[in-house]
Amino acid sequence: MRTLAIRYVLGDVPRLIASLAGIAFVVALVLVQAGIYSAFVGSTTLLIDESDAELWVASRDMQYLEITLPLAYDAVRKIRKIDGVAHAEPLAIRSAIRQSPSGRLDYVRVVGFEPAGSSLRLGVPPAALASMKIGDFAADAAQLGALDASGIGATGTIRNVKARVAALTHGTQPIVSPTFLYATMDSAVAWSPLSLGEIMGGAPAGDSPINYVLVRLRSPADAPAVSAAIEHAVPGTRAFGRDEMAAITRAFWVRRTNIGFLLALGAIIGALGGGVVVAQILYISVNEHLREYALLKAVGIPDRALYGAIVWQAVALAVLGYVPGVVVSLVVVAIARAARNLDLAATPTDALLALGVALLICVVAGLLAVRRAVRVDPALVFDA
Amino acid sequence: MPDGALIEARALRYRYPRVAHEDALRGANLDVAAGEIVLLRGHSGSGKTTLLCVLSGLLTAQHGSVRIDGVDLATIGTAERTRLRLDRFGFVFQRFALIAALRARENVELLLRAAGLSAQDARLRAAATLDALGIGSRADRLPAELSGGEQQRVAIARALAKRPSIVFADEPTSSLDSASGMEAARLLCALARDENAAVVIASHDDRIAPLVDRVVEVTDGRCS
Repeated sequence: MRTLAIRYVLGDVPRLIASLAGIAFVVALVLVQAGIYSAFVGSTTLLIDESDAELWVASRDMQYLEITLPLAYDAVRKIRKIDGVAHAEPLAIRSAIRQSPSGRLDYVRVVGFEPAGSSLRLGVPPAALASMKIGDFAADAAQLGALDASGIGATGTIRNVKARVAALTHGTQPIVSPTFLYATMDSAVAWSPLSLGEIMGGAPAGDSPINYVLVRLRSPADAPAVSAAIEHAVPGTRAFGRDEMAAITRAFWVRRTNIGFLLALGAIIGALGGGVVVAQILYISVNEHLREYALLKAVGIPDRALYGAIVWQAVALAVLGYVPGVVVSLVVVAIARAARNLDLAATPTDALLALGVALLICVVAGLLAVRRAVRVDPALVFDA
Repeated sequence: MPDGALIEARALRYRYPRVAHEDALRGANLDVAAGEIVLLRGHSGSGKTTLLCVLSGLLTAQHGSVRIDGVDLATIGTAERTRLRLDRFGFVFQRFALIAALRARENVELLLRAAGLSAQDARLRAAATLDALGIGSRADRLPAELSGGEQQRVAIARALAKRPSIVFADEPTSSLDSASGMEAARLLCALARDENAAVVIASHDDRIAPLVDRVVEVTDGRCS
């Protein structure tokens, strides 16, 4: 029966191509949607993932990377004195509007940090970061268009202060956030005197407030003990582990944007569409071979063998359609990478998921179609 | 009727639902002994094919009974009837009913595999049966590449390869020219005798009569 099932699949080339196109569409859709999801969610935590800091010290009320309350700069000094801390540095996240020489405006997120010995890994030579002066910034190369900048050296202004592209980073820009400008703390303060959260009032006195203290631990160090010591030394803060910080940020964006639900909805609708195509094609195939199915029933082939034959057809279609689907998705990934520097590559788990979806829709479509075959009157084969 | 008939049909009445206003079978009786070859002879519409369908369990008579080896078909379920057809019956159809996508030997092997033979045994048995019918050299051809006579021989091989107790043949000569038709009927009867299989042939072809053990006339849904 497997031979028969495969022959039915391969026997009609135009129908086979139509089936494979439907399945390939579903597979490509699932893979691209999964890639978009991964790229979106992954991009929200690039700054965190690409840092050497084991602890991110922030206000207890921190919602996610970009929404938190300010800390006094003095927190850095206190944390540096704690046993087990190898390095502590400030990080400020502020908002501003940059204007290019042609007058174009871009809403930007200014990440103020201390370049020398920083825990941030921006993919920029340390010397280039260390030489940044007030008014200089590094930004992702993919954002040059948004900044209306031609490349390194391009200038603009933020609050009438020079804002010049001094270095280019790669793969550091969250998809949904404003353009991230990485600059010295002095530049950040100059461009945006009020830190995020200060609009609520009650800014700490003294030095310009910051939002995070990034901490690298001495090796070996008891991370929970150091965290407790930090939280004790700087009341109102919490020391978030890097993974925890990333998880909080990812969860915020997933919840805020409903992106998982929306992409899954798109994939489900696509899968249903592809499933209908496959079901129709299998149903037509069953109808065309109805007399042969009647023969099989008449000579004593049990229904379960007929179900088996159709399921085999469905599995063959799913596997054959999966390959071009993966190829299409790879083409889409390449286009996204070339056009927008977006990495939409699906994970191996996503690839397995897409294969599972293809198998599921084909088997369901096959089972819907086979009902016609198992209900056929076997006496039909006696009709002259 | 001999005691212990392999097929024992009594007072069969059958009316096709939503098709005819009259009974296709009107109290048909028939007994067939093991190894016996019987020709059901009658004109078109006389009820021959309907009788074959009822005897083989493909249709269930509204009245009367069919016993196969003492087992009343009305007392067994659909799955058991299906298994009975696979294990003990062979079928030869008027239009050969070969599966177009399968080669000649694959058409034969399909049923042997379904009946439980291993792939190798099925291949050997199919090859031997096709050889016995003189078409071993055409075993790898698709049905469309075979003549009508060759296709009918493949159909006979399919029916007999699994060594059934009973072969039901519906108009086995009518889709063939005169010579091919007779050759097919002769081969069917000869091979069935070799295998000691009972054969019930429904046909209006008088030339088959000398090949069989008994001729039963079917007229207006009755046997005489």
